[in-house]
Amino acid sequence: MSEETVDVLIIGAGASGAALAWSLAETRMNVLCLEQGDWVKSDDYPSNATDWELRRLGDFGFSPNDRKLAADYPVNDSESPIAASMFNAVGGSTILFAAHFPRLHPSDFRVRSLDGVATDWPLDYRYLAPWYDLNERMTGVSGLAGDPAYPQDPPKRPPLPPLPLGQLGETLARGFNKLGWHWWPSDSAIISQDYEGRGACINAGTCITGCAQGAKSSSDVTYWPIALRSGVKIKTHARVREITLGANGLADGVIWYDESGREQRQKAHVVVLACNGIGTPRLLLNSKSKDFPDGLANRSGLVGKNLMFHPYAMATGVFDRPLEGYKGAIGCCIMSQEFYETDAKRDFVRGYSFEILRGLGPMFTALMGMGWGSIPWGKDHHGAYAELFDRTAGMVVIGEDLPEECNSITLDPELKDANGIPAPKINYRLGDNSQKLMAHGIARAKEVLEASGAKKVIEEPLLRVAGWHLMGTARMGTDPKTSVVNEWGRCHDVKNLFIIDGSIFPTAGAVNPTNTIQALALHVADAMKKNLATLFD
Amino acid sequence: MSDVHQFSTHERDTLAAVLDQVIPPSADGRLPGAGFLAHGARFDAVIRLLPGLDLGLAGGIAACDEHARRRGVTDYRALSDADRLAVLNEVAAADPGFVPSLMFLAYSTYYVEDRVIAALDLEPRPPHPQGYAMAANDLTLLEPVRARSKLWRDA
Ligand SMILES: Cc1cc2nc3c(=O)[nH]c(=O)nc-3n(C[C@H](O)[C@H](O)[C@H](O)COP(=O)(O)OP(=O)(O)OC[C@H]3O[C@@H](n4cnc5c(N)ncnc54)[C@H](O)[C@@H]3O)c2cc1C
Ligand code: SF4
Repeated sequence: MSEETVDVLIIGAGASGAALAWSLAETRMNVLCLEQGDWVKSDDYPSNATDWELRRLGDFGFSPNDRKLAADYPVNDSESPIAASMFNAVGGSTILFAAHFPRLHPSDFRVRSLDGVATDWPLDYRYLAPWYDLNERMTGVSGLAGDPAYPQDPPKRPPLPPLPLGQLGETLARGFNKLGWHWWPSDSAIISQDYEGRGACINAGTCITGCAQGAKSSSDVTYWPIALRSGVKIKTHARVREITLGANGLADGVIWYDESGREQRQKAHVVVLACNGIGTPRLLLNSKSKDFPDGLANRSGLVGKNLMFHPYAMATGVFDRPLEGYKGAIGCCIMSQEFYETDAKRDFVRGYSFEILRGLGPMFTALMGMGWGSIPWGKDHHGAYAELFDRTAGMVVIGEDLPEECNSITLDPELKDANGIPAPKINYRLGDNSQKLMAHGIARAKEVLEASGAKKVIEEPLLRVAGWHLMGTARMGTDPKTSVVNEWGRCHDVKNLFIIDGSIFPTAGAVNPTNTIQALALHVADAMKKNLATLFD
Repeated sequence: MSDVHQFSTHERDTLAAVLDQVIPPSADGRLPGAGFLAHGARFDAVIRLLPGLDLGLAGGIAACDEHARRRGVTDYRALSDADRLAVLNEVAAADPGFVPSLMFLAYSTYYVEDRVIAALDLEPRPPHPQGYAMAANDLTLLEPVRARSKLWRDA
């Protein structure tokens, strides 16, 4: 039994939990974060050894089902064409993230009004812009002002200059120019120059197995160190099983398991969920009571519903010259938003972004080449390998997924984690609009690669591994019947319970979500601070 | 983990001969055959990554020996190079999972070996802490994009 009742208990030390903890630190409230994972130290990262790529298949893989580390919980994704991808540690999934850090567009907040689909957000781009600014400063974002794909009022001004495009990026930029299509250097949560005590990116290219350099702005190296210095506390190896309710109908704390599997209790005046779009609905659905037989804060029936990924398609161009693609941040090069906004001439609404990836390392060249049937075994092996290695450029289509209630997180009736807590199950299928949009995107990606000089293009219409943007499963809105939290992240049904991760997105947009997740977390923290006196009214 | 198949010396030697067929030495001699991987520590790590990979490989190796005996020699390693290839093709036809398992093993472990990386004209060193130098950006490439009118939609 824990003796002390904390003022604010945050569950999950990932991107959103870190931003909120930092913001609340100035209040001098007693803030505690429970995190099922541990800190990842610089020495732990694969990039310190030549066989770093191999660990992508093991303890630094994307899927908790493959890693099976003590911090992980299993996710049944057998009935989804897109697999769960996340990391469980201080820093959460930002430990592995590629750090592509764009903002949503103004139209993303007004999807129902503009296009007659899905739902509008209860806030808009202009409102969120200062929180994006703050988050980009705290994170250390590299990029370039003046992008015509974004409003200039208020302006978007990344604090650091863009990362190197490299030969590969410039080759594709020329291809976009040939077609007259938009492209722009990526907004990247990677510091291109020394910043706030961290050393600049050294172009090592290992970002998606973590950054030993500390140049990638995972939240363990941005918000958390400052939050901890300001008095916030983290307990690691602390896995929360359920949120408990007091007699007054408010959340009064949690039951959690420590590293040795012992059950513990933590009392709190306010509980904040930051477990991501899968972990948060899982925890709510596991927190059943007389008042909430279908899961906590679930009177709307929408907890776990409306799961959105960004479906990813990939086109890989094979060139006849080296591109030095193994150098540089793997996911942060250039982005194109030529096809971002709805165009009535197309057979789908909304749109997609292109993100240019770098090339593949030596080992992944071999494995991808094997998967594509391009690198045979036997006497032709070396010749085929030489035609691929350092001669590929990848391009992904990041599509806007519309919310559909049938796409959901539920509790698996059998699967459990190491503490016996029911595991989540993903029920997902690609909607009709998404299918059309992705088909359009992959065809355009092929055009770009060909215009850039690729002699061959390999198309992958849907990337199974790419279930890393987890959104919509506890959506935000003003009406308690059609949403789980209000416009500042507070659950309609439980007044001292907040949700701040990607679960609260009403719609997904077509850009990577973490800048928006953290901007929203800062907005929620600000609302909590402003409303402290009347927080539970 | 104790339930992973323990490969005997004979099995590893046979696997080495099979892996040399999967990735043979390069004609110019710069790149080694993949056979050496069968005796390396990474082999033991990789066979744990995919369920059933160990037994699939062990079964395929036994089949290679069996097919070799049908050709009148004691085991797979006693075959000529041309016959090793022929036998591997026979086993692959009978057991469609064997060659993909071999390829996964060979491709995932071969291309992280220092001597292979060096032969690809890369420095055999970890990416961190040295990283790689990259040239400064040529942002004149953006001129046509800057010249465009706004792409975002009023909302
Ligand atoms: C390979 C990969 C690449 C990515 N690339 C990008 C990118 O380029 N750009 C981008 O914007 N996004 C990217 N993402 C997604 C990005 O990482 C997430 O959007 C972001 O981390 C989500 O933040 P979060 O706070 O919602 O959740 P997370 O960062 O996932 O953090 C949730 C935390 O909660 C903890 N937790 C969960 N349940 C419990 C429990 N019951 N008890 C205690 N602790 C719990 C977890 O251990 C975890 O640490 C990528 C993700 C991956 C995996
Ligand atoms: S490329 Fe930069 S951000 Fe990515 S891992 Fe290397 S140093 Fe870190």
